[in-house]
Amino acid sequence: MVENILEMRNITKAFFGNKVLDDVTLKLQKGEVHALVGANGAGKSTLVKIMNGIYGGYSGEIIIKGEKVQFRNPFEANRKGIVMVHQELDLAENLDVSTNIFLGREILDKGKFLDRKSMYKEAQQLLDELNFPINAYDVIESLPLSKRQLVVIARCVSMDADIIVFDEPTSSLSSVEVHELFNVIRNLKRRGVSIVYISHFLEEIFQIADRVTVLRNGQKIITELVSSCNTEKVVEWMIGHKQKASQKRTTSNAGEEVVLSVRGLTHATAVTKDISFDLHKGEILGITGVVGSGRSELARMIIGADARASGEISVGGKVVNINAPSDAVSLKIGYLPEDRKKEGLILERSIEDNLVLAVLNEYTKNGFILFDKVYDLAAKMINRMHVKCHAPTQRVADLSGGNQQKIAIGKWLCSESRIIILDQPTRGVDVGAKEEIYQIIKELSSQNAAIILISDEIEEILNLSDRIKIIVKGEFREELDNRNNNYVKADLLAKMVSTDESA
Amino acid sequence: MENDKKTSKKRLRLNYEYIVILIFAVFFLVCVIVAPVFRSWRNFSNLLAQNAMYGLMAVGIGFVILIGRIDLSIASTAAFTGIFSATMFVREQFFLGIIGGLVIGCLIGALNGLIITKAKIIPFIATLGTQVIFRGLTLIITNGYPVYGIPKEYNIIGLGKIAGFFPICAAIWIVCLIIMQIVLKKTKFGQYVYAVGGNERSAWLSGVNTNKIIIISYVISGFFASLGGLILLLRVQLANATAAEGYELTAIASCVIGGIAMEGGKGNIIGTFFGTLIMGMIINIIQLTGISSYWEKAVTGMIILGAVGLTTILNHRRK
Repeated sequence: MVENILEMRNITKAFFGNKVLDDVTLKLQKGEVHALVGANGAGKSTLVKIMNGIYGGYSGEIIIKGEKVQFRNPFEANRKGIVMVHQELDLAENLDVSTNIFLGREILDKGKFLDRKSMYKEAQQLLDELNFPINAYDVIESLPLSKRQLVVIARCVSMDADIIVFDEPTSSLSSVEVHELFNVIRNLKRRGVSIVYISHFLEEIFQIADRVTVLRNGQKIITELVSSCNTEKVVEWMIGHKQKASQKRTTSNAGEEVVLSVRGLTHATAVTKDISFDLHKGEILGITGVVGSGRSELARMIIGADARASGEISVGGKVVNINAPSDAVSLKIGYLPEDRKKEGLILERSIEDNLVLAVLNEYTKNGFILFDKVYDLAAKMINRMHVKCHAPTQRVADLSGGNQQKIAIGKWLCSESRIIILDQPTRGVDVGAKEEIYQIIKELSSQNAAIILISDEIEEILNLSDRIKIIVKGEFREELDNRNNNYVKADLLAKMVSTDESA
Repeated sequence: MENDKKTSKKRLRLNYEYIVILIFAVFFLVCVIVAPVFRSWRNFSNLLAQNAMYGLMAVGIGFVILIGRIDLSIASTAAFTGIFSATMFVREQFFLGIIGGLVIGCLIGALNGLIITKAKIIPFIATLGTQVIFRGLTLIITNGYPVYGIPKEYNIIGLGKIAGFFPICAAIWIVCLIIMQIVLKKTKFGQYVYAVGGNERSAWLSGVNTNKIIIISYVISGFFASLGGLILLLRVQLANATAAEGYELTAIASCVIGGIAMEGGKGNIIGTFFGTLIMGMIINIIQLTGISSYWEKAVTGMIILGAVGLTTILNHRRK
């Protein structure tokens, strides 16, 4: 019988009445690499955040080495030997490696001053022991991303961690760096450390993990030895058998005319490389890929919010120069950002102020706003999109998530955009609002607007898109013609999570 | 039905944005009770006239604070343009003095705006820099000597009264206040000011030329700084290199008491009127009641914290 170092029993967690984890049990053995997989939103992050004391307010219990624990914050989890390597490496970039390794646990000399000499010495010893090619004196800023990750891992080891959680550690690493990381993980395993490994890339799991636990819609589906399952099986567990076809769009409205043409678009930071595609009148082009695949950067590059290193954009057959979002707006290109609160809306302002923001020029006379016209437009839009509110003068901050999202989309309906880029249009909205947003998207397409739909939700990509582009690590992998309904969720997911070029 | 709801919602917003009027009323009442002199129009009109220059500066810097930024250079701007205007006045170039002073104020504002948007220096540092530069230039130009000898008849702007009872400088203040409130509430520019202050990223992604809005706001701030400086000049009848020192803090405090949020996007220009008067009344009442004037600063500080604290509490309870 192998010893369970950590048991999470019957964990249930809800956000605002919305169950994200439902009776999940996870058992972690000493010295194993345990992979945690599931589609976006399956509850992986929530589960490990509970494990790390970031989230409280759950039901169920956590047992470490036979002792029942309840963490109030991540520090308490650290003290019990659980540490997490976050996707965003939480290092103080202005400080050097040894200072970061000992942050919060500094070595002091007799006079209670920092004993830098000992800290450097110990840090270097540890780095050498782990075979990390890093100098303890290096400032974090000067290190490439892959080395920063090693610093975080070294810090975890120096904390005498028994359990290290890796959240998407390879999303920004090259294949050589991934290979090196796996050596590190095997090394940690030999030291008796247990690893929880979250990744979208299933191949990695078969390379590194001993066991895999699959989550779907907040429920645990199975925990299985990796050696006794394969990719197809895991994908099947991730998505289930049910395939709802009810919302599937039946008619395509895609025309022949190319309204937007993109050639060789490369992001200034190279997160996307050499992207080319055409978008047709009335078409819905779905773009999907895992978190960090570069899909949002692609959208921001098209509208001029992110700088591009190279590439050309044509609108209506003419090459255009888009250097700022205002250029895109005047070309009638609308953009719904991924994060509506941070980027999409001005929360403290009213519904009408938000709706009319992109077309205020058309609603002013001699610089003065035509308030009656604005009010009528807002009222019309509220009606059309079924926004639940008291009046167009209501503050957007007081609306529910779904209604806020409708306002953020409505801004581009008010501006009568001919090309609309939607990044995660249904993220964080309830089911009812979701359906209504789908309806709006279909309506826009039938009115000949061309739409780029970027989404995590494979189902909505399948249900709405005419064509689907899959983006993996910043490059378009494959294009699927979706008009004949011949793809299912599993096909898409398998293509998204594969790192193999030929898949 | 629909209309009913519209007005009730509007009223709710009014209550919150104009809370400063309530604070002002209470304060005023207290003053009237403790100091009988306070009941006279003469005292009140003096209060208006004395605070016009602060109030005008607050109108301008109000726009900068509304876009979520700061301007520490306004008092130096007032002193610098004051020297120019005074020199022109001494040569009996009245209109050149006025127009030239205001234009220089706008240029200094534009310089601030350009440094902030193009060189990307944070507003606090950028305007701290220009504050010291223009104060220094003023000292260099004047060699430390005041400029005086302004023709007596020019002082009508600073000290004269309309129909013998309403101070001209207060009238200028109130007219500017109303115009700028209309600009803020009724024009496209005003709407963009709220958008940039409320969520700059979102405004930019919606196609708003945010840099332009930022630069114009600083130009407005510079304009009203020089206008405030002109009023000061025509009240004291001489220009001094050290004139208006520290006035930027009074103007900022007036905005904050008047309900403009330092993080931007919330508040209005009318509020600065009451904010300025509350600040002025503190000094006024301390003088009238014979309390040591040493108390002035401490009490002012407490009022700033009290007024802002009250607004913050009310704002949070709403959420």
